[in-house]
Amino acid sequence: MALLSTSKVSLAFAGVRALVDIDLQIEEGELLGIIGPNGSGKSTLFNVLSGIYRVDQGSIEFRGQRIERCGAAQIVRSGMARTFQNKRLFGTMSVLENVLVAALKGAQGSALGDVLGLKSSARARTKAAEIADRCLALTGLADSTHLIARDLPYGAQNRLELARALALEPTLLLLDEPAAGLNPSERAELQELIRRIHGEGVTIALVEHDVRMVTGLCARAIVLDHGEKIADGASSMVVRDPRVQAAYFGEVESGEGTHAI
Amino acid sequence: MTTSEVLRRWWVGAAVLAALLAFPAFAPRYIVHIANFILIYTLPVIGLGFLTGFTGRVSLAQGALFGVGAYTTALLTTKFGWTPIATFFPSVLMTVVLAVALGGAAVRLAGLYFVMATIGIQQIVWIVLMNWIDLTNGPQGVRSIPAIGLGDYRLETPQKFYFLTLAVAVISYILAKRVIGSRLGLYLRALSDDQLAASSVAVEVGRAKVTALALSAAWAGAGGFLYAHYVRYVHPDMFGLEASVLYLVMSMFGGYRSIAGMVLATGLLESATEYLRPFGEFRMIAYGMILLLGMMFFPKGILTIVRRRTSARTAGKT
Repeated sequence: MALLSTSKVSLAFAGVRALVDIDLQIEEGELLGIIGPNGSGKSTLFNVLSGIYRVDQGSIEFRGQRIERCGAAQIVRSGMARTFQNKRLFGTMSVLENVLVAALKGAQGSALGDVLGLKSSARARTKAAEIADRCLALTGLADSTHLIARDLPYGAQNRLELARALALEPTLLLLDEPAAGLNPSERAELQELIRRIHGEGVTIALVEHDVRMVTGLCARAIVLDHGEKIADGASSMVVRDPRVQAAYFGEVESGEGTHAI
Repeated sequence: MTTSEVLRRWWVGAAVLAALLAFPAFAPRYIVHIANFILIYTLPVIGLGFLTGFTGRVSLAQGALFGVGAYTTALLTTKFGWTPIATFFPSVLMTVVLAVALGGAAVRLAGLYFVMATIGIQQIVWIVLMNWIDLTNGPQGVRSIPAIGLGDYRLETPQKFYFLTLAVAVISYILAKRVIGSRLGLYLRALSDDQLAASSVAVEVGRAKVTALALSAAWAGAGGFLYAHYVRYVHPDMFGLEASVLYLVMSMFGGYRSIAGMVLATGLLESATEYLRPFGEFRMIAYGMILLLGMMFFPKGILTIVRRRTSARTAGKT
């Protein structure tokens, strides 16, 4: 059974169809690429999966549980983490605190235990700190733990967002354009990092504009256009699909030969 | 080095505490009287700090919540014959319950809408205190609130009351530091930075905000309890919008997310209103100027002066 599967997921904003009957399977251990032009619904799909938007129709099943009516925090605790296209860090907090919040996984009833200094609270905090340290080391941020997040250079902010998502110890990780705004060498580093995370057994869905990155990392890819899934298959094949080419580069009309790039 | 790191040095804390304990022996009665008000006001101010400084929710209802605490104990002791000490927890509880009942839904609203909702709550409480005459005596206020007594020893003079307010203020300060240092404190700061990101790292944003509201009410209720038994008279106008604005200013003026800063600002602004009395009718203008200049030069709070100094010194050492 697939780790995550959606059935006929649809969502419209004020009549504009953002997602139309999306059927999608993500298998356990997979590294799935999601491509498509701007406004094709890639980020909307992530927002629906992670519980930020509610679907109008359709169902989403994650690890055998229906989650389309669950809140974002609940979905995260069930094992799905994500990053955002426009980095959404906790700007005034330190690098360590950013990751620590995630590593605590929203543990409840914590305030009283912490105020009273209970042993169980101390244990939970120590455990979270260990997870945070591990994620910061993995993303190369171990030396910046006490810097304030918004003072970090862009590339490091990018890695911090990834570290924060990893601290949730997800089964499924949704990465929304993690390479946006990075220079070629940072891009290569990121690619290596994603491969390593995947190697540790995390299932990943990657939204990316850079088709080469997707074909380089992902065995399978799906393509969205105008909220519809127009292709699904081996990533190297999918990008050559005429409909995909048309969606990205515009219709190549015979006779008139207009190329829109 | 941050302020809290400075304060964590034991000798700083010990010296401050010793000075505070010895203070009423040397200070004139009038000064001790003002010190009592300062210490009492640190409670609603710190409480508001949970909601405003740390959670990013600006509330203009803290005066009303302070009033709920004060009126609860005032009515329980004068009308129902309770001993003052026994009404402490009921006063705090009443304030929390009322705050969550009236504001629990509103605190989930976006910033500006929440501010407007709190103005509504502030006015509702004031109107009820003013008009439910059978219960609250309305515009007459509640007189002859008994002094707090320990056996036959009654805390009737400012000097005697001072040690109680000091004890409560110190406990409230330590508790507040621990709350902010707890995991809840981390969640609150996270959601005030970015609510969506907070919910995507499993923070139950709604619940955390209601908890912050409840905490702010608890601190306000405790402050109101002290106030009622110190002044021994309560009137709805003591807990109007003006009071709410004052607490808001105090909790913002001191320092961005700094409990020590909130305490410092409460002290400075409350003593300023007293020391500016010679200016007569120009007093509020002078007060306004202090606020204006403070906000212009230290937008993150007056405590940044101390911080800049200490960080410059540590930077010089390395």
